Amino acid sequence: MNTEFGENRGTYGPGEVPPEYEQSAVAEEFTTTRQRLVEGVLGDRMALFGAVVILLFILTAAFAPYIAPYGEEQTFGFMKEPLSSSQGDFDDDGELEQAFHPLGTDSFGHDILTRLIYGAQVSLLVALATLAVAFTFGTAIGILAGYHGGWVDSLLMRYVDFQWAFPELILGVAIIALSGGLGVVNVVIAIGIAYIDDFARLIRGEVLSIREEEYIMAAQTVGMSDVRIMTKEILPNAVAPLIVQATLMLPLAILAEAGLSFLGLGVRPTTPTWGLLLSDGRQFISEAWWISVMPGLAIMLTVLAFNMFGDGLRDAFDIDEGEVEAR
Amino acid sequence: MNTMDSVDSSAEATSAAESDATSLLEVAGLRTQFPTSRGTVIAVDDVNLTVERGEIVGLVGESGSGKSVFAQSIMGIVDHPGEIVGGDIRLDGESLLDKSDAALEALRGGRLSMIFQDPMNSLNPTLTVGEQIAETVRLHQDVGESVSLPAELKRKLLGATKNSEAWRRAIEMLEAVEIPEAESRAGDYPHEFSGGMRQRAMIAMALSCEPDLLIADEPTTALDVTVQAQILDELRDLKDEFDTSILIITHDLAVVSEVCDRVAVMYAGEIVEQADARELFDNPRHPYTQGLIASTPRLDAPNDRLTPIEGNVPDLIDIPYACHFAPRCPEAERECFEIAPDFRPVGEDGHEAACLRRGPTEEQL
Amino acid sequence: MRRYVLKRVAHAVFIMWLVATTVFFGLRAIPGGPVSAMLGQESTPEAAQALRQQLGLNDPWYVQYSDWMVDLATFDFGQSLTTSQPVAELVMQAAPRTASIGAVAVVVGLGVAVPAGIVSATRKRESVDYLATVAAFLGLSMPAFFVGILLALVFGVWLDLLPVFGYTPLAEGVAPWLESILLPGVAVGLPYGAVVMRMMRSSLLEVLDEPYMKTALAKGVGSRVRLYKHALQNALIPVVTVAGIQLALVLVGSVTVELVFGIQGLGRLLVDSMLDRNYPVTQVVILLVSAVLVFTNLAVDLAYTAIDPRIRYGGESA
Repeated sequence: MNTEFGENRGTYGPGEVPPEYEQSAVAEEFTTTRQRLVEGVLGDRMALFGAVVILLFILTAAFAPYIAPYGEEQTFGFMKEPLSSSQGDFDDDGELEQAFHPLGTDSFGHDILTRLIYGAQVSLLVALATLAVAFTFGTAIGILAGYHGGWVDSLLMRYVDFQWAFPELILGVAIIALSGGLGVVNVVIAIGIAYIDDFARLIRGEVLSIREEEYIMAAQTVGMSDVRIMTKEILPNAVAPLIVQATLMLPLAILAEAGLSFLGLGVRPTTPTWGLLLSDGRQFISEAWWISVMPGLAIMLTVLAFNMFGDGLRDAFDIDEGEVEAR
Repeated sequence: MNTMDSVDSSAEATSAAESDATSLLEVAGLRTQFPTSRGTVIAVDDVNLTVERGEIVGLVGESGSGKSVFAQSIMGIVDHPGEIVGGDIRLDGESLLDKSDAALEALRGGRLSMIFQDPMNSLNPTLTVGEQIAETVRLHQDVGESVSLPAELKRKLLGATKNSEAWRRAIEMLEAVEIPEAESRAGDYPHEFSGGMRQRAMIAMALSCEPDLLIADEPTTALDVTVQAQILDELRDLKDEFDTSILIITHDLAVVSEVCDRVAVMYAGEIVEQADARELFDNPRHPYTQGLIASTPRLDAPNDRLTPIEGNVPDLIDIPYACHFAPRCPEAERECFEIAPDFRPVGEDGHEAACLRRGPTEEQL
Repeated sequence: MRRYVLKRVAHAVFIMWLVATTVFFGLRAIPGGPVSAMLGQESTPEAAQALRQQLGLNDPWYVQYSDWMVDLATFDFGQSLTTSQPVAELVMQAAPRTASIGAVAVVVGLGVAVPAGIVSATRKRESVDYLATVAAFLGLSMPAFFVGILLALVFGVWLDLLPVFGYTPLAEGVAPWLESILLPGVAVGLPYGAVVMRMMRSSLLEVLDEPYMKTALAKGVGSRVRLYKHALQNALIPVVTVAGIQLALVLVGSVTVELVFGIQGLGRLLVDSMLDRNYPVTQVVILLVSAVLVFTNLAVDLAYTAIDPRIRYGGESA
């Protein structure tokens, strides 16, 4: 039996093609992680919406004094409805002015839009601080557990499991009570600690899988360039779930702070976080619903934006939904 | 409803079978494509294939050749957004493409059935093996049991009635594929079966209604080598027992040489060669087939060097060459890129190949 | 399977013990402690000492701890420091209210989420899907208490359809009881349902892509039977997980929503007792909340044995 393969040679051998059929190798375009990301988010309408709103939120928080129509403590007419104006001499120049209140005023006469804008600053800072705490401790625990393994791992993971039995708010309340009082710092610590478990679990998982890969790499790698390519791809992939988790955790932190403040266990009455503003307006709900509803809508919009963006990010990075949990 | 349809089509089948000239399965000029963001992927490009009664036909191709899409096209289960855009598929003379969705549903599992590559995941983990077989029986045979949604849900919650006709048939089928203790095993879940047994269970399920044609898509690929041989023997025996013709789709030449009567070779969406199995292995004519066989180790020629086929399977979007294999073919001439090769006789007993460099003209060269 | 069950139960009990211990040490670590908070300005060293003695706070910690453990085991929860009422009584009064809200929340949440998720998945990318997905996003972006405020505003203040304050016990009739907890229940159920709905949708989409669904198609099984008999049970497995985990959301939501609707449930009890440093009450409420969570998670684990045959019947046999 003979196959004759390759025995008769034609004009064009394997890999050879008449000139007019020559195609510049249409190799599949290599998209860098960043490109994939950007394409992913741009393509997803909801994620894009989220990204835009987040940007607005951050800008508002950063430039609050410049954006706010009025001063932080300026007061006008009491409990004015949205889209109304108050009349009065507000800048002490002896003349009457009109002050427009797109979102109304509260029981002290503060312009709500102004309060919300300044509140964005505080809310963002609190949320970021909380994230920092959760991230730092969670990462430390996760890395230790993943790297050491053995009894360190078991012990730390037992703690994480245990913390899991407490919902964040209850834990937060408990820690606040422990630390003996209200205040931003306590809130940050309380909520930060409450969210350690998610980060710890995530990072431990990442460390474990990277460990595996290193051994595999060691066994298989011959040329250095492979390593470099892998570091360029593996590292972003390890960092990716962390970024997504952080993005999805921020809204939870905002919600948790709002909840604590609402219960009266959060920040001190003078720090105008959105949660506190919501809580303040509760007693006036029948006469002046906007005092609570406006901050509530602000919270909702921001949380929504982070959730949509984080979700889109997760899709763009192609991460399993089970790996990064959202609420 | 289902039983009515099967009665109708078997009546038609009888009249069709009376004219012996009708093949069991006749695929003519089939074209299946998938619109994608990068262009249209033509997975099956003008394919002709026939399967006669009592035959085992093998369809050989690498991954990317379009063979699975071909199989799914016959069954009418191509994944969205793929669609059949040309040609015809005739089962016993009747065109399948003309049939309504309901009529096709009645055929599937009944006269026309399919088994898949991955027995691990092709069986539903939340239904007992017995129930999965019994379900097929209930759908396509007149056993007096309802297949309405409420009835099925009730069956799911409470389990199938153990002395129903369908259940007994399921046990019979498990015995037919040689699963020990079939009666108790029928009540087990797929995860309690080993890989080989799962594939047997799938075969049992596919043959339970004595189909005219069984399509086996890579039936042994996911199995251990020893189990592979058993399964193939099984298939051959069952073919006789149930009077079922088989179309085996595989990339493995060994499988094909083991059980097939006839073989067709597929490359990049096209059939390039067809012959009786023995003839194909003894006398491969198309350069691709020759290349395939040359790159496969053989026990009877241990010292021959293996010659791989250089290059890669092309992207099925918009292939500009007339002969899809031309860029990798060692014998290609200019006309191969420009003129579409037609099928020409290249050997004995209906041995055909689609190659401009073969056939009667070759004799003249 | 019995091993699985026993392991889960043992784990749950262990966690509870851990919680009780932590609560014990945690509360005693509070700066100031109950004594000074209680006595406030009238605090004199003698009065403080007397109170400490009365509360057993002068005993060595291990004595206090074992007393605590014994008390727990015998369900002796002590007395409220502010009112001298038995803590058990206070809790028994408050718990049914929170439970009612929670029950309505779960029923409403799941009742909407599961069908919505199924419809969304089966009509992927159609307008129904987009609507449902956006609605779900909105739902999980709103804290329960805000939903509560909105509902109270619309249905209570503006439309005047339902009461927005207070709780009517079941004893006074089903309809009044339902009226009083409907709004709070829905407020809590909405965010909960939103999370569950998203999981139902994504899980079902994944299942529909599985090879065994192709097998069912190739067998000629009809589309509705494929969905409900072949796909659904598989898709529900992760949904059950999420529904169980997120019960924490329901609990937290109930706690905050009680404030909005003026319902004297566990939330009120917890917050008040914390502000008053009334720690006998605080520790019992925290324990109760944790117990509910731990044991619902246990129930979820056990529910798996019903849904996933792989757990029920262990591994592979030759």
